Formats: sequence, structure tokens, C-alpha cells
Amino acid sequence: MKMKNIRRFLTYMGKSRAYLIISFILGLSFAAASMAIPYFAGRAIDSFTAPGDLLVRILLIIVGLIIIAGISQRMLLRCNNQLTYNAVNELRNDCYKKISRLPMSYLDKVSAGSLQSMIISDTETIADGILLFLNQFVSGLVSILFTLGVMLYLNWKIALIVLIFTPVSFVVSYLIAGGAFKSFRKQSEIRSELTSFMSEMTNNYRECRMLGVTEEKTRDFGMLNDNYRKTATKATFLSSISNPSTRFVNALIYAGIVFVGALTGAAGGITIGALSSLLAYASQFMKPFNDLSAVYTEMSDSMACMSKVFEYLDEKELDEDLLAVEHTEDKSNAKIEIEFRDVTFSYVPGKPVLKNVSFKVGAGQSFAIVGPTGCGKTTLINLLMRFYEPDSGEILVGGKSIKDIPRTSLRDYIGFVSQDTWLHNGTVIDNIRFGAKDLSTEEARQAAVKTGSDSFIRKLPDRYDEYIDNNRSEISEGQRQLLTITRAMAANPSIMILDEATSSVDIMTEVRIQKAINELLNGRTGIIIAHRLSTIIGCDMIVVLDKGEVKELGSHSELIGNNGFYSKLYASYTT
Amino acid sequence: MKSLIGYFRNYRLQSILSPVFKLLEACFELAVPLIVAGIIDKGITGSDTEYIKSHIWLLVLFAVVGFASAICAQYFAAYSASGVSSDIRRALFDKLFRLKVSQYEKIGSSQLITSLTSDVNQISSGINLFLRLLLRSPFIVAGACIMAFTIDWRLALIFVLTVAVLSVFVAFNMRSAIPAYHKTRQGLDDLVDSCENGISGIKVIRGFNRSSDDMESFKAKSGLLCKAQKTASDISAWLNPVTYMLINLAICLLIYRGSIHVNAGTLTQGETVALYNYMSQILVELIKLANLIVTVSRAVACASRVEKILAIPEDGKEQKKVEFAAGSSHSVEFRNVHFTYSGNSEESLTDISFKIEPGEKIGITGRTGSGKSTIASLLTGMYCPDSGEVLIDGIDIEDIPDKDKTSGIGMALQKTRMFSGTIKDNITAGRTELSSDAIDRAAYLSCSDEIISGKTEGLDYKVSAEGSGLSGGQKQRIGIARTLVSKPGLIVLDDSTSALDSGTEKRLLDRLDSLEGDPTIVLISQKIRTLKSCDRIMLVDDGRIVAFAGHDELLESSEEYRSLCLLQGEDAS
Repeated sequence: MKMKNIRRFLTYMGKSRAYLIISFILGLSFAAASMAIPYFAGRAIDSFTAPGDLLVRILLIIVGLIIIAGISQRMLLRCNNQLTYNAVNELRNDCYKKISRLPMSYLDKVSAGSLQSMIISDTETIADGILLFLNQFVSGLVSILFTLGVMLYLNWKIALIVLIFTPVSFVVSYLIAGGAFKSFRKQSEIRSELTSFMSEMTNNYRECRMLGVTEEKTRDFGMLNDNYRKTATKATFLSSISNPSTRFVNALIYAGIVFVGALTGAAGGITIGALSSLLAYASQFMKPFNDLSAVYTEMSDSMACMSKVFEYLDEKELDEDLLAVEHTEDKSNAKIEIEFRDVTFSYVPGKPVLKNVSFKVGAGQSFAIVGPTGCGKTTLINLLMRFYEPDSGEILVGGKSIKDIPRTSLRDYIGFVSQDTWLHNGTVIDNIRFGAKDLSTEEARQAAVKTGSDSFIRKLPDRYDEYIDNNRSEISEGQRQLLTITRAMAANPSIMILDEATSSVDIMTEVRIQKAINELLNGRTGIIIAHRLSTIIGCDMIVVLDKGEVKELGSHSELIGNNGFYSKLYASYTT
Repeated sequence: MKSLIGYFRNYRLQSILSPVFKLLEACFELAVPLIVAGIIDKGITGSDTEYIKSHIWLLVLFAVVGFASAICAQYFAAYSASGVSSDIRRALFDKLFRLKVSQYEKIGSSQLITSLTSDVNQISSGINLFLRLLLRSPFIVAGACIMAFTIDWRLALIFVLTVAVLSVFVAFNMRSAIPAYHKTRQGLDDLVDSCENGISGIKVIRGFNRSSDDMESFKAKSGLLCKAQKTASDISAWLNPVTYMLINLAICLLIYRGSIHVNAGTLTQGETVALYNYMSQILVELIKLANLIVTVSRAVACASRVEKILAIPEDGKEQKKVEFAAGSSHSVEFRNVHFTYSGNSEESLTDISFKIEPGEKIGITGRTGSGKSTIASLLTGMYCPDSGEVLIDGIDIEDIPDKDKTSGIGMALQKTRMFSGTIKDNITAGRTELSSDAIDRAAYLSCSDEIISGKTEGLDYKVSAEGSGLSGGQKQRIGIARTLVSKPGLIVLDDSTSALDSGTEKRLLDRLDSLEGDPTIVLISQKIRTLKSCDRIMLVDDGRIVAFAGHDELLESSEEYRSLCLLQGEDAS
């Protein structure tokens, strides 16, 4: 499983496989060159008293090694940066692209926050792990082997001491890393609890103030905060003892080498230079172990993220859309009829939201859907736009089952405005053009004039070039709604869907928009969902939905005459 | 920066002990090369095995003592870093609820959440590293140079030169690395924004067939981030190789010069080895010092942001001692109230004066932006008027203690925020004194009982902070229940029935009429239908009261009101 993921990740590096080999070679040459330096430094110290220019020759070798090591390391780091960031960039793009290919039913299940954190944070974690691995793994391994080799060559007894200590070093760094990891995990759990509490409090600030529960909330916070302080202390402490422990083990090895080395030296068994080489090796002996254990921790994080990301990338996608060849007719002039035939649908299996819904919207008719909250009005729209597929039954647009119309062509016919006032991060004009990219500035402005948004847009500092940011509230909810209406208007579709489109604009504005909408609906097929019955009265046809079933169907006057559900609804509205 | 230092007071001892122990550890480390030099010169060259044996114990002892002091130092550093930062976080959180609502909104919740989380965390790691390395790193670098001087002043000059060159290089490298990391940060923020926007707008993007364009724009931002990351890492990738090369070249020089002195008899071989060791120690510490500077400077930036929030002046106005009885019904009076939102040039409310008697039911209507909600916010004491007075039962609302104000006045908003927890938790919002009878009653009055009975878990149905699983209208009803449950004497519903269908809304309004104690009710809505049954209706436009009378009277007297009714299909009948 793990290997499979790694191999899959390697395909992201695929294009630069040559870099991967270069990286390996550079890691090798860096480790070899830098590990050879202490050996030659020792030889240099021994040749102090030697005749001739032996010392100078050795020093020149060292300088050569320094240059090789320095340049290799520099190139290694650069090469690894390129490799890692390019690969992760592609992975990130794939993750984002995947969103547009997933069925809505999947996206409903996952929270937006976790999807976003996967696309951004998890891929970062993968990058961190891979980068550290590439930077440290080869050179770390080579350093350990090289050090042991040189030591064995210089003095096998001393090398033996080091060899005995090696497992100790391993165990120490493993234990500490493990302990730190566990308490870090606990810390991050409590941290996320604390963070979500704080973000809830800041988001619900007004509520807390109004309800006078600030003392209670402060008390709850105090408990969480204290808890966090304790775990944070522990985690920070545990992670910070790894350095001193390493230094301690190193110091012991060092003392051991000095002891054996000095005794051997006193007996003439080893030169001072060789001893100083050994000491130099000993003083940095633990470093590669530390590096490797850091690689291990980072990589296990990285691997966990990798399996999560790949699992997500393997999610079942929407079926390949049919080719958009047959639908080339001019969409704005076509009058299109819509028909629902026996449509049943459920978001959760066994809990149908729509039951055998059938109705027909004539070409060019305006059609209203009425019913209490939660009766399935918006679901009808979701099905019509193929955000979801019905469990059974059929939906026909222009006499053709929408299953046979590519989603993109189908959506080309349709302009919609929903309750949700989402806007694209971009300028006002970008947003108006959202459904019609080729619109000229003048045409976009005309659309804005028609919906009455022009007047507030002109008051914005940068007018049509004002940047809209969803997190900033300089533009009111009502103005945002106006922009979404303008957006649909500018798209000039043959089917217009208005789902509570005017719920957050004031009455005066609504009347003005209504006029514009009426004008736009003229000659087009329109589906309207609204709470305000006044908006609905003028529609050609009204369907009354309750608990997912069609209760009544007819024009306003017919339905009033029927004396049924609708007339009761109307009565409760007017009295 | 200065005011935050006060937060060390509870951790004074730990904050002093930590660097002291670190210093101790450094001293023991610095002594090691000298002992080894002695062993080489006296023990090996002089073949004195007794000397070797006695001095080895010194090495082991130093290692043990050094390790012990390091552990103490790390513990104290971790303790005071998390302690100080937790205290700062708590102070910040306490501060939030002492701010005026307008001050709070000016800072914005996203800034506050950043301060509470990442700023405080950065401060914590800054303190931690600072305490640990403050004395150690400079001490070892300086100490190694000084030790070199005690061995041989001419060779020590190589040390001084190396340290100088290295410092300059590290400083320059950092100076270009910091802005590059800044750019990475910016790139990441942009990408997060773009991702968030794309995910939340998925239906619109699909509906308008813009998926591939959206993908392109994400790809562009992602590419920018990738480029920034490569640049930043590339700059840092100079640090290790260059310092490594410089130190090793210095070692070569040291050995070369050392050999001359050894041959001249002014230096021993052991001392050369000691100098070599000191040089290696410098490298490690200098890089640590560079990291320390980066972390600490980041922490200082975060600290100043936190400090700015903590330094916001709290209520300047001295609260008078007033007796305010949170009763069953309150009167309200506005006297010449003016109000301007901060940052706006135009007044949002101009010279508003009116009076509401206890037990009255008042409607406020007007177009978006006319000032309806601003009146509500002033009415409940969320905002304070720039001039003029808002009186509750004849008492200036700013003089009423917070506790009394919140129990006397209840308000529900159009966009109801949820607390993560059960429906019950959302109705009580943490007020433990509420009886279950009161909760059931509030649920009934707000028509939330229908929601609750529709869930198998009933009141224990779990709601997330985003309120998933509940429709907008359901959230509004729970918000109203939350307001009613404490039985306030003044109830303000700011467009909080807007998402209800007309049947439910009518039921809710009927139930409100049956509230015990006959509380004063202020309903804000754009819908005449919602307000029709009110005793009086206030028509607001452009921050002024246009008319204020009963429905029938307004129909007679106000042209604007009449046209509003007509537009909504409310005939004059």
C-alpha cells in the first residue's frame, strides 16, 4: 500500500526522473566529500613535522573536498526544491481539478473546510516530507556508513566502541521522537478543539454579547486554555530534549574515544592526527541519526497525507459527458419546454425527497413552484440542472431526456439565481460576465442597468472594476443578490431559474427587479420559487408541492377555485 | 512589546533559570576541547596514563552535568513559553468581551482568530527559542573565540575574521530570505482564498459552465505559490553550503598556520586540535542563532499585533451606579440620536427621537440600508449613539450594567449563528440556570417545537457550528427560542422571520402575542404582513423616521406607506 503510493507519487516526478538520479548522485558526493575532510585534517595534523610540502598537498586535497562538498550540497538542495515543489504543484492542481469531476452527492458529504485543508495543507505536508527525505536520506545513510568505515580503518578498537553505541543512539532518538510525536498529536487535538471554540466565539460574537453569556464562555475557554497549556508544555519539552540527549550520547562516545584513543596513543598505537579525526567523526556521529529519525517522522506524516490524497483522487467521478456536438442551435432564440415524468429522488437512500413528481412547463411559460419549507422545491432545480440524477423517472428538456444532453450544453440553456449569494473572487465586471465571457463592457453595464445594480456599482470606489471579496462585507447581502441576478441576466439563457432570488433585497428593489425579470422571462421558459406569493400570482402555471409530492397544478385563479392547499396557503398569507 | 513583558510575571523564576542553566551547559561544553588538549599533550605526548584516567572522569562528569542542566533549561523554557502564551491568549479572549461591539467589528473576526491562534503560537515558540538560545549561542560563539585567544592570540584572529565574515553572510542571506518567505505566505493566502471561493461556489461555477476557467485561475495561483516557494527555498539553500565551506576553509588555514607555530615550538599539537574543535562548535551555533533571529523577529511582529488589540481603550465612559430592574416589560426612548458607522462618511441615523411604552408591539420597516437594523443595534446597546440618548425605563442604556442589560433585553437576528452542540445547547447557549420547562416553552413560542419533534433525537439533535442539517428558517426559529427563553422584558426581532414560510410566520407571531408579562416587542421586517398587527409601525428611510403610527392611520396619512402596501399586494382594505 505504502509502496504503491510512493510509486504513484513518483509519477508526479516522472517528467524530471533525470533530476531524481542527479539528486541521488549529488547526495552521494556531498556525503562522501564532507565525510572525508576530518580524515585528511587528521593527516594534516600528523604531517606538521613531516619534511617537504606534504602538509600543503594534504591541505590542497582538503580545499578540493570542501569545494566539491559545498557545490554538491548547493546543487542538491536546489535540485530537490525543483523536484519537490513542481511535483506537489501538479498534485495540488489534480486535487483541485478533481472537485469539478465529483458528483454533488460526494461534495455534500465532505465539509468544505476539510476539502480545502486537504488540497492545501496536506499537499504541503507531503512536500515537507519529500523534501526532507531527498535532502537527508541518501547523505545521512552514506555518512553513517562512511564514518564507520573510516573509523574501522583508523583504529578498529575505537570503531568498536562506536559500533556498540550505535544501537543506543538509535534507541534514544527513536524513543524521544516517539514520545514527542504522541504528545504532539495530543497537543494538536486539543489545539483544534481550542481553535474551533475560539472561532465559534468570534463568529457568534454578537449572540454571546446579546445573550449575556460572556462569563460562561470565558469560563469554558479558561478550562480549554489551561488544558492546552499543560499539553503544550509537555509536547514542547519532549520535543526539545532530543537535542540535549543527542549531545549527551555524543559526549559519552567522545569520552570513550578520548579514553581508549589516548591510552593507545600513549602506547604509540595511534597518532594524534588520527585521534583528532576520530574525535571529529565522533562529535558529529549522532547528526545523521537525528536527521534520519526526523526524516522518518516527517515521512510518516507525509505518507498519511499521501494515502488520504490518493484515496480522494480515486473517488468515483461523474460519467464522461457526452460530446456537445448535436446542440449547436442558437440557444437564446429557442423556446424550450421542460417536463418532469414520474421523478423520484432521495439524498439519503430510503428517505425520498421527491415522490413521483410529474409536470410540464410549456415553452415560454412562466412556472412557479410553491410549498412549505423543505418540500423539495430546490431539489427540483438540482435535478433539472443535473447536479443530481433522479432515482427513477425522467426529466425532458426540449423533448429530450437530459441524460442524453451533455451537462455543459444543458447548463448553457439555463441561467439561475439562487438564495446563496456566492460571488466569484474578482471584479464586479468579472462577476457580471461570469455566465457570458464574451460580453462587452457596455453590454455588461446594460445588464446592470436593467437589474438596477448600476446605481450602487457606480457608487463603489472602483465602480465596475471594484474587487469583490467574499470575506468583506462592504457590499450588502441585498447588493450581492442584485449582482447574482445581473449575472444570470447577462448570460441571456433560454431557461431562467429563480430560486428565492429576491429574498434579501428590499421590496422597492424587488419590484424593480421583478419588472426586469418579467421582461427577461418574456418569451423564455422560467421557473420561479418564492416565498412571497405576490411574485407568483402572475405566473402561467403553479405547482404546489408538499412533502415531495405534487398536490395541485394550475394557474392562480384555477387553484383558488379548487379551494385546496394553495387557496389555504393564499388565505393564510392574506389575512 | 513592553506591555507583553508583564505576562512573564507568573513565570519569572523559570524564565531566569532556563537561560542560566543553558549557560551552564555551554560552559561545560566549552571546557571539553581544553581538557582533550591537556590529555593529548600531557597524556599522549608525555605518556602519562594516570593523567588520562583522572581527566576522562572529568569528561564524563561534564557530560552528565551538562545534560542535566540542559534538561532543566528545556523544561523551564517550555514551561514559561506555554505559560506566558496561554496567559496572553486568555487576556486576549477576556479583552474581546470587554470591547464595544463596534470596536470588535472594526477589528473583524478573522483578524481576531489569527491573533488568538497563530499569533499567540508564534509568540510561544519565539519565547521558547529565545530562552533556550539567548545565552547559549552567543556565549558559545564568543566563548570559542575567547578560548582561542587563551591558546594563541595570533590564531585567534582567524576566529574573529571567520565569525565576522560568517555573520555578514548570514545577515545578508536572511535579509533576502525574509521577504521571499513573506511572498510565499502571501501566495499561500491567495491560494487558500481561491480554493475557498471555488469550493463554496461549486454549484454556480458548474451551473455557468465555468469549471475549467476556475481551474485555470487556481492553477495560475498555485503556480505562483510554487514559484515563490522555489525562490525562497533557493535563497535558504545558500546558507548551509556557504557557511560549511567558510568554516572548513578557516580550519585549513588554522592547520596551516598552526603547523608553523608547532614547528616553532610556540603551540602544541593538542592545542591545534582544540582550536579545530572550537571552530566546529562555532558553525553549529551560528546557524542556530540565525534561526533564532528569524523566529524571534516573527514573534515580535505577532506580539505587536496582539499588543495593539490589548491596548484598545475600553469603555471610556464611567459607569454610574444605577438601579435597573430587569422586569417583564420595558419602555424605550430615543432622544435626538445620531449614529455614523466608523469608516462611513454619511450618517446612518439622523436625529431619531421616539418613545415606546411598556408592553407595546412596534414594527419597523423600510428599505435595505434605511437604518432599521441600526436602530435595533442601538436599542439593545450593541452600539452607542454618537450623540443623543437611548433610554430604557428612563435610564441611559450605557449606564445599565451588562448583566442586567442582557437579561432585560433580548434580540434575534436575521442570520442566526449556531453553536456546536445540541439544539438544547443552542437554546440555552450555556446559561445553566434555565429550567427545562422554560426551554420547552421557548421552543413552543418560537415554533421550534415542530423542528424538534421532527428529529428522532429531539432536543438532543446535534448541530454543527455551520448549522448543517437545519434550514435557514429553522435556524431563525431556534434563534428566536434562544432569545425568548430568558423571558426578557424587551424583545427585538431583527428580520428574524424572513426565511419562514407565511404559514409558520403567522403561527409564530400569534404565539408571540401570548407571551406572559406582556413584554415590549419590536419587530423589524420589510414585509407589511409581518407588521400589520403591531400597535404602531415606524417607517424609516435614509436614517430618518418618515412616519410612526398604527397601520390604518398610516394608510390614511402616509403616501410612502400606502405605496409600500400596494407593492406588496396589501390592499388598503
